[in-house]
Amino acid sequence: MSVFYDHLVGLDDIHNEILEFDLPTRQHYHLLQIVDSTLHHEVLNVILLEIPVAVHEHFLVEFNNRPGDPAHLDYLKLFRPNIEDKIREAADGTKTRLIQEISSLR
Amino acid sequence: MAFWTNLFGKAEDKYETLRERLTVHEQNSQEQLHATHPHLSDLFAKHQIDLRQIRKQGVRIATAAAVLGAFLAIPHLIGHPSVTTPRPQPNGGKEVTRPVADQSGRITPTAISTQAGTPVEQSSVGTGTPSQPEAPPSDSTDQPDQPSSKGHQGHIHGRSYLAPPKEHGLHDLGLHRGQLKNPQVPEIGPHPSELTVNKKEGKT
Repeated sequence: MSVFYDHLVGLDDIHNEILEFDLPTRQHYHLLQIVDSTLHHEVLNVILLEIPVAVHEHFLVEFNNRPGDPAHLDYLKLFRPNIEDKIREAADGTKTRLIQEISSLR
Repeated sequence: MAFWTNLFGKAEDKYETLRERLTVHEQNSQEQLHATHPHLSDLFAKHQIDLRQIRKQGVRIATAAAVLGAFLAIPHLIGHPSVTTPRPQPNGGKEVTRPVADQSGRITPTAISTQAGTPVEQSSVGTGTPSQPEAPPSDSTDQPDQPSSKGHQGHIHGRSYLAPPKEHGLHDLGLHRGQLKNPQVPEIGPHPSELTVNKKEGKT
């Protein structure tokens, strides 16, 4: 796990979709990295929308220091108990959009 | 030759097309994030936060944890598990637990069991009351080992606490092999430091 919400954002669907293009491994994972960065922005956007602006700075600093600490999720639940559902929904929506984009190029 | 050119050319085209399309989505998501939260730019600049670096740092931590875990698993993989695992005693009786260092830095035995499967727990230093079920309470259990007066008991001090426990453990009791069968030596009794008969025998 690289960041604390990775268990809510799976890349298996995207991975399988890119596999259809039979790309070299390096290119395959470079595309996955772009998708991962996209999901990262989307999820962070949702998280910052769900917590007060006053704690944005504190959260970002702590997140920057310890990206994989699961305590971040507990901290976010103090403000939004269903933050996990919000993160999962945002990730699923973004992945659906990206899968459509990828499959249209096949 | 044309076959390979077409083959790689197609793959490159696919990759470039995919990369361009996905990069557009990445840029859009990044712009949306900063548009929704315009104060993020100041926060990022203030604390030198880079979202891509967060991801890379997370990957580095995960990689370091995996490497550390693999390194720690090497003794188990080559068949040398940690010495803290107690070895099973075939006759079930003679077992001496590992001495531990108390607060003053001395190494003291924490538990001693004797022959015939009758475990006797020895309290740690400083408690003053041994938890022996049948033996009378002793008033001098504060000094379970006296290294200056008992040279032969130095097995405790001369042996690294990382070393595996001795099979019979009699030296920790101030005894030698076979002395537990000696009727002069009580099977369950006071602390080894009080066994004066052992001091004499050990010194001679």
